[in-house]
Order: sequence, then structure tokens, then C-alpha cells
Amino acid sequence: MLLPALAGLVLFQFAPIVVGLLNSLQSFNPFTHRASGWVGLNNFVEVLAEPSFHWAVLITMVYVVLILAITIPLALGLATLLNSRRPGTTFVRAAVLGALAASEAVTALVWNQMYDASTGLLNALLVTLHLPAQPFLIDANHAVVSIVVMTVWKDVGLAMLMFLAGLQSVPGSVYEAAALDGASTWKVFQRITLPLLRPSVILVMFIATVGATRLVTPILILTQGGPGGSTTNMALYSYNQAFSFNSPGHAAASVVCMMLLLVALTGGQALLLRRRGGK
Amino acid sequence: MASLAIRGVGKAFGAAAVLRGIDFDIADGEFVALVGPSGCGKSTLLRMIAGLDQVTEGEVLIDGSRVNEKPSKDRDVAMVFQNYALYPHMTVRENMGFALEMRGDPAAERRRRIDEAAEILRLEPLLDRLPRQMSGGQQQRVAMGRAIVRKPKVFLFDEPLSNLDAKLRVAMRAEIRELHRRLKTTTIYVTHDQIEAMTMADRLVVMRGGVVEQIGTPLEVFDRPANTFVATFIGSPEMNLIAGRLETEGGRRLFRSKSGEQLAMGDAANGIPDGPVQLGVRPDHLDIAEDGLAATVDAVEPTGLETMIVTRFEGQPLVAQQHGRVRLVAGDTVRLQPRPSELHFFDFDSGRRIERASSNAVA
Amino acid sequence: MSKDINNIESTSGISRRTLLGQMAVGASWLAMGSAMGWASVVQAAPGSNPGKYKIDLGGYNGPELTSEPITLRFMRQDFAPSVNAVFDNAYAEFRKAYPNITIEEEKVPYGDLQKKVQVYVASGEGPDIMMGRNDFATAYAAGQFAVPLNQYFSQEFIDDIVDSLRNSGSVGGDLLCLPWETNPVFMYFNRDIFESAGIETPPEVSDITQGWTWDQFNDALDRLTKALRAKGDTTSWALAASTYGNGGPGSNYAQLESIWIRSMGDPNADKASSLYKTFAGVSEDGLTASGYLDTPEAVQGMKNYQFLFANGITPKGAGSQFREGIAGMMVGSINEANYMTSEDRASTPYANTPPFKFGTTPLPRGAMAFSAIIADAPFVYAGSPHVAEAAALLAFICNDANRLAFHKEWGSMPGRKSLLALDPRYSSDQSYQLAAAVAATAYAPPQTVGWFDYFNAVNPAVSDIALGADPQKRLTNAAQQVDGLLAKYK
Ligand SMILES: Nc1ncnc2c1ncn2[C@@H]1O[C@H](COP(=O)(O)OP(=O)(O)OP(=O)(O)O)[C@@H](O)[C@H]1O
Ligand SMILES: [Mg+2]
Repeated sequence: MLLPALAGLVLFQFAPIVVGLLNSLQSFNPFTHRASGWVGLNNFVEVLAEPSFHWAVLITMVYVVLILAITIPLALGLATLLNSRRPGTTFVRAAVLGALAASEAVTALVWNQMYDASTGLLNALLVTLHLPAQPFLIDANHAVVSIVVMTVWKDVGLAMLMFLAGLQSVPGSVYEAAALDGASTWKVFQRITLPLLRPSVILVMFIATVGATRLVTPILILTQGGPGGSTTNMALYSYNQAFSFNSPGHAAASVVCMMLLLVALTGGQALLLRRRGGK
Repeated sequence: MASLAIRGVGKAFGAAAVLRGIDFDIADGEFVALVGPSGCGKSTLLRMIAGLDQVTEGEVLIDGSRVNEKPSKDRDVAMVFQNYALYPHMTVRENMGFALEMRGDPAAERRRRIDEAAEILRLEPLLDRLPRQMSGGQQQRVAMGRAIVRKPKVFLFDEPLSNLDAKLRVAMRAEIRELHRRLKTTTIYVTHDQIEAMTMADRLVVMRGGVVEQIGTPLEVFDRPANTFVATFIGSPEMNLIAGRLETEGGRRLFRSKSGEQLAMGDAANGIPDGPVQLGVRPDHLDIAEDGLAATVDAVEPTGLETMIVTRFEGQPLVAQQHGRVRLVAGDTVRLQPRPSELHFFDFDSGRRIERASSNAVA
Repeated sequence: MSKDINNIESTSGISRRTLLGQMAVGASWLAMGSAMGWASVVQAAPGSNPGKYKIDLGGYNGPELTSEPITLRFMRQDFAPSVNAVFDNAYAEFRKAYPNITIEEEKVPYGDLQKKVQVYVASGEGPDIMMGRNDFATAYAAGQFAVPLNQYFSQEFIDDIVDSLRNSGSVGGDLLCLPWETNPVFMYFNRDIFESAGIETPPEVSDITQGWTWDQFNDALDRLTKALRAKGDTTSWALAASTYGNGGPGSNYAQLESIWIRSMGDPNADKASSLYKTFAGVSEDGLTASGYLDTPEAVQGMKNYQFLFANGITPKGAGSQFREGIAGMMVGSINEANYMTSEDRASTPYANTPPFKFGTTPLPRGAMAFSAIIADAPFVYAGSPHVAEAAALLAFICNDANRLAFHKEWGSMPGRKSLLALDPRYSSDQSYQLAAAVAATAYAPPQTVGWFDYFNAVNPAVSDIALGADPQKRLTNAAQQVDGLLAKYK
């Protein structure tokens, strides 16, 4: 009973990691992409020497920070709104979950059109409101934000659901007790809701961090990593090394670096949250 | 501390009316128990007083001023929930101090009050624990502690002991009583356990199906139940009711059951006209005698000091309670004779109590 | 008219004559271009091998096919259903002759083709025939995963391939892939838009050296843009967005944007000169782009390119404005002319656009008239267990009848001289003559085994420049990146 499950786990969870690790230590024939020998840490040395890789590391963290900073409060707000069961919330729920259900690639294509500098919906809107048109995907800073906004729009539903589940697992009488104890709405949120949602926050943070670190489809579709490589994160860097630049060894090395960063980020979060929680 | 008045209060959830015309006053410092079967609206009434549910009809007054529109946090009432509703992420100290912190008491004052409450409730060794690290009884005491530190105008208890085992429940009853004696805070205590209500409260409010059936001191309610519902609800084992009619034969009053069995009434039915009636008699006022109602024994339940004899009379259960042991077995026929002075009469159709003329003399 | 076109006419004299004979019957030459006219002549076309095998295996001259039951797999791009049907019909015919050979097709989106090829090659188990591209021939040779087709195809057939195409698909005399159509790049213009704006139309010539210069081109389109805007027209564009690759700027350096850079160079200049290096795009050993991709000439080329975006001449995003009738000019291939003159316009991309008058003109020129030759080119996978049969199937798909049926449905330009000669338009209509002239003189991409890396690195640079990046800095940066990428091929 256990064995097939274990085998599946090994095959689908660990095998790719092991293959990635092994690949990162080998050189490859750039034409056939077949391994041609062990090269030690050479791939890492070469990748780490690349300024574009340094940028990719930085931008990976920028995505993570921005996505977390927007997703968590937004998802929390939406979840609180839905939990209140005020009229109209079913519409919000449908919209958010609809976005979640849509395919990432299709969503990115739609946003790509909306962001288009000359023919896009967003600029058309800005112009009718007598606001200056924005170079959404053209300017490096705008492009990063545009990608983040699209990603948050797409994925906030998942975080919202997790918060909603967290909110609904708090017995209503706790809120009633707080009301009788004289707590204002804000105090209730700050002192009761938020601490009780800690497990959900940790989960959402973890999932959003993993998602944001591995972000690639929206970047590929919205900016292809440009302008000037400014939106290329580690995931896309690896993708490019593998598929555009015939360098499976570099691709593997940068994927390994990405996994290390991911472990460091999530580990750091866990440590930080545990310390604050265990006071 | 405060007085409380419930004036013509009704409550409807949408189209469903769950409370109607509730009307009573509670004096400052009084301990009132709300009793009634499950679903009769006790919690709903309590929650309206607390401001957790909106009042759809009538008025709730605290110290004479209407509070219908006041949010909970401004009513200065404290509630102990059935599931305690402690803040799971706060220690006992934090749980108890939360309300004080919310109203801005300085830290020293908070500490003093918490320590004081902890001492009363013997919570000192638990002050740094989290709720999940405590037993049900301990959590219950914390919930009380959270209520008393505030010195609120009114305490509201919603079946606070229902999650505890029988022994602990008895102990806690006494503690709550003792607490009330010390603090003298106006208290409404919801329970569906009539013994709890009887032993703790200054007055009972007996409810059924969203209306108040009777209000009175425990003994008033026990001795002169206003109707068959209260009669059977209050007191354990419950009062027997026997359907029949009062008749006068040759100047002597007698009660004739449906099957024609007769009981001599003597003076007991004075002032009550002939006609159909429900006769009420508590089990310990039914004696085994030479004559009386012939009933078949269903079961004999010795409880030590007392023995319960469960019988069947005219298809209805009839329970007698005897001091000491009896030698009867299921299937035996016994004759049961009520003590005339302890009889209750209820209108046959409405079930309402009918007072007899001599009742004052008897009581 | 270029020399090569005359060449085509002379080598395919027979079919020319047959056609002329039919023309004499009185049908218009347009009707003649239809498959009916072609079908009656295919039996005699050169490159075919009638009678030698059970069916017309075209240029195949290898051993007779096996009688064992085998399966051949062919991976190609997905086409419209009507084009896919051409393949299905051909397979049915093949199966009739060789019932023991099962054919399995894998159709993938065009944009995924080259990645899919890579994945298959890396796995060591690719389909027997895969759709490659002529500009990867150097990589196919270096990786040794394409069967040299000389071993299975007659020299006569190979010689029939348009010279520039054949050269681009060959390395050291081996033909590694079979460029089976060509999409020579030139320019279309919407005459109605030019005329109503009062701007002179570009020269409608088939001599590629007689088009506008970049300065003339930019100037005319700038004036056209201003004229359009002055009329209050805010939806039309002087120049349509690129429809190559994924569309928009930086879409396809190999086929399109390299024109701006490499036309600023000169293949005949001294090899040490900046002019030559600009044309070459990469060092002699194919391993250095710095000093080639970022010469002053190349930078000027990109400035010309950037001008179009900076002045609102062309959109910064993608789109098909010309096909919607709202663009003065577009870069395109002969397909557009075929669509616009099609009797069945409703099945073309112009279905929803009211007809307008169009014209064609050579690409703008710098120091030279430059265009790149890029063609889909299937190859036989060296790892195939049935190389001869795979070559035979490829030859069959490329026999005259099947190719003509394909070109008729798809609208592209044949890659073989004899087939071109069958279509009189290539000798009488200016647009088709222009296409033929471009095809005859087009150039292979910069000669490097790392061409894939090269254009993948340059495309984003071009895109960035279109959107405002400094051409000098961005080209230098891209060249350095390419240098780094090419290092692994040393
Ligand atoms: N939010 C609500 N919506 C609709 N009906 C409700 C709601 N809350 C309570 N009720 C109904 O009101 C009636 C009274 O409920 P309430 O909880 O006050 O009963 P209770 O006397 O406290 O019973 P218990 O002893 O079981 O706690 C019940 O019939 C219940 O179904
Ligand atoms: Mg209740």
C-alpha cells in the first residue's frame, strides 16, 4: 500500500531534483543537449559570474516581496469581506475564483492586450480620465509592477480561500466575546482575527513565496523578460538557458540556485514567524 | 451594578418568530435563572440583552435606559458563553485583561484586578497558560474570571456548566452562587437544568416555545406551578398528571378517573367546581395504601434512600417515590393514594392552575 | 529582372512550353496558375522519378523501401485544415503503394517547433522526419543529427532547389535539410491610404536595388503618419506591426529585424572593414559578435528602426493592421498577394476587410539591398531506424504534385526552380517577380553554430530598442551576451 505511493513520491518529487542536481554538475553538447562529462562546480562558477544572473536573483526577490506585500493584505481584506456575507459578496467571490480558475497563459495574454501601450484598454481608460498614458510593459519599473499586478490578480483567490477557511474555523462566539469586551472593529481584527489567522498567514506566505519565486509564464508572455532583461527572474533565466541558449548545464545550475534561494526564503520566514509566535 | 427590564420583547429571524411578548424586571443585584426546554429561546433572549442579536420588538432597558440600539461593546455587560469563547491565542492573564485593556485601564490597575479575580477563582497557578492547556473546569473559571474582572453592570451566563461532569457541575454551582454573594452583580443565568435553576436563583423565569410561562422564586414555582408545563418541568422526578373529573356525590367531593377509579377529595378540592380536571401530584406525595388508584408496576428503581416505583395507570405512567425499600416486582398491582393536601388542580383543557379556596391555609 | 529567374526559365523549358501551349487554348494566366493547369504537367516535371518506384517518390533515388511493417513519424507545424488535408491525401496515396508503412504525424504550434526538435534530439528518440529550418543547418551539421540528403536524393533534384535556399541548407556540400518553400521578404503598401494622404507611393519595381533608401522610407512614412493624424485619423498606422514570430517589435530577428542592421553592411567590402562586419554579424570563426553586431553601421540601422516607434509610425505592440486595411505599409511575403488576389478571399486573413488597392516594393536599402532567406526545411533524423524510408517519404511529400497542392492551399512560394517556372506569374507580375528576385539574392543568417543562441539574445535587444533603449548601449550589451553564449561552442 505504502510502497507505490512512496515510489510515486520519489519519482515525481525527488527525481527531478536529483536530475537537476546531477545536470548542474555536467557539461552538455549544445546541439544535442546530451551530457558530455562532469565539470564539478563549473556551471555554478560561470552562472554566478554572470551579471544578468545577479540581476535575476535580485528581481526574483523583488517579485517575492512585492507579491507577498500585495497578496496578503488584499487576500485578507477580501476574505474578511466575504466572511461578513454582506450582499454583493457572492459577486466578488465569483470574480476572484473565476480569475483563479482561468489558465495562467490565457490570463497573461488578456493582460498583455490590456497593457498594450497604444491599443490597450488600461491606457484607453487612463486617457479618457485625462490621466497620462503609462508605459506598462515598456519601462523597466512599470513592467515589474505590471507583472506583479497581473500575478496578484490571478492568484489572490487562492490566498483568499485559505484565509476564508481560517476565518471560518474561528468560532463566532470569540468575536462576540471580543465585542462584549469592548473591542472596536479594528482592535478585533488586530488582536483577535490576525493572531488567529497565523497558521493561514504562514501557509499563504509559503505558497505565495514558492509561486512568486517560480513565476515564469506571465513574464514570458508579458515582457519576455525585457526590457533589457529587467524582468527576467531566476526561473526565466533558467528557462532561457535551457531553451534559448542551448545551455542545459547553466539552466540546471541556476535552477539549483533558485531552489536554494527558495529554501533560504521559506526557511527564513519560518524562523522569523516561529520566533515571533513563540514569544 | 444595575437593574434590567425586558418590556414586551419579541424576536423574529426573518419570518420565524422565536420570542413573543417577554416581559419582566430584574432588580439590582438579583440572580435570575432562565429555564426552559431546548430551543425555547433562552439564548436568544440573553443575546439580545448582550446586544449580540437585534431586538425586533419591544425594549431592553438597563438602569432604566433603552439599550436596543447600543452596540455590545458599550453596554457594559459581561457574558460567559457555553463554550467559554476564550481567546485561544492569549494566556489566562491576557484573556482576563483584554476587556480592561480595551477600555484603557492602566497596566497596574489591570494587574491588580486580574490578581484579585484570579484569587477568587483560584486561578493564580494558571495565569500564564493558554486555554488549550487547561481542563474544561479551569477554562470555565477563566471565562468567569474574564467576566468578573470588569465589574460589569450585568452578568449573563449561557449554560456555563453544561460541558462539565456532574460532580464539577455541583461544585461550580456553589462557586457561582458564592461569587454572586460576594459581588452582588445583577445576573441572568440560562440553563435547561431545573435543579441548577432551583438551587442557584433568587427567581426563575420559566420559558417555553418563545413565551414566559411563569416567573417566581424557586419555591413559588415549585409549590404553585402556574400550569401543567411548569408543573412537570420543575421538580424531579416530575409531577404526575391524572386526567379525570371532580364530582360531588352526596355532598362528598371525589375525583373520578377515566376508567372510573375514585379518590376521595375531602377538603382538598374546596372551591373548585365539578367538571373535567387534571390532577397533579408529585411522586413523593403518592403513598402505597389499601385503597387508591390501582396501577400496575412497570419497574422498581431503588436509589438508596428512596425507591422509585414506576407504574402504569390507565395507560399513563404514574410514578411514586417511597422512603426506604419496597418489596414489589414488575407486574404487581398496587394501590396508590395521593396526600390530599398536596394535590394540584389544573384546567382540563388549558392546563392552567386552578387555585382551591383553602390553599392559603394549606400552604 | 535578375539573372536567376532567367535561369529558372531555361532549366524548365519543357514545362514552360507545355504551359504556354495551354495558355494558347485561351484561358487567362491567372486561371492557369490553378492546380488544374499544374496537375496536367506534373508527370513531366524534372526532379520526379516516374516509374522507378511504386509511386512517384520525387527526388528519391535510394534503395527500394522495406516490405516489413514499420511506422514513420513526422513532426511538423499545424496548418489550417485545408492545408492539413493536402498531407492526409498524400499519406493515403503513399499507404496504397506501401501498405506496410504506417505514417504518424505530430502537429505542433509553429512557435514550438524548434524547441520540440531540441527536446526530441536531446531525448535520442525523435520522429523520423522533423520540421527544421534552413538557418539551423550549421547546428544540424555540428550536432550530427540530420542525415545528409545527398545520400538519398538525386543531384538533379537538389540542383533544382533555388540556389540561395540550397546553400543555406547545406554545410560542406551536404544538404542537411530540405527547404521546401520560401518566404522572400519585401514590402506591401496600401495605395488607397497613400493616395488619400497625398504621399507619393514607393517604387513598384522588381529590381531590389531600386527601392527606397532607409532615409526615404522613414521620411515618407513620417509624412504619411502626420498626414493621417492631421486628418484626425488616430487608428491607422503608416507601418503595420511585425507579423513574424510572436508579432510586434523584436519578433523575429532571423527573418525581419536583421534587415535593418545587415543592410547597413556590405558583403563585398574588405573583410576587416566595419561595413563587412556589419553584414557578417559574427566573426569568421562564428564565435564573436562584439564588433560585428554593434558596429556604428549596425547602430545606425537600429536608430532607423527606433525612429519608426519613436515617431508613432508603427505600433509598439502586435497586430495585423495591414490586413485590417489600417496600415500604409507592411513587411510580408508573397502569401499576402496570394491572399488578396484569391478568388476565395473569405478563407484568407483579408476576409473581413473591404478590398483595397495594394502594391509591392523592395525592402528599403542601406549600403546594400539585403534580405534574409529563412525557410521551413524538414530533415531526416539521424537517429531514425528507417532512414531510407524516411527519406523516401520526405521525397514523396516533396514531389511535384504534392508540393503544388501544398503551395496552392498555403499560398507560399515554391522553393524549387522547376515549380516556380510552372507559375507564369513569377515571370509576368511585378510582385511575384520581386519575390523571385528577393529569393534569388537573399542571404543566409550570420554564420555561427550558435545561431539559435544568437537570435534569441538579439530579439529582446531589438524589442528594447523599439521601446526606447539606447541603440548603441543595447547592441553592445547584446553582442557581449552573444559572445558569452557562443563561448560554449569553442
Ligand atoms: N440565527 C437564527 N436564525 C434562525 N433561527 C434561529 C437563530 N438562532 C436561533 N434560532 C431559533 O430560535 C429558537 C430559539 O433558539 P435559542 O438558541 O435561543 O434556544 P435555547 O433556548 O437557547 O436552546 P438551547 O437550550 O438548546 O440552547 C430555536 O428554535 C432556534 O432554532
Ligand atoms: Mg442556548
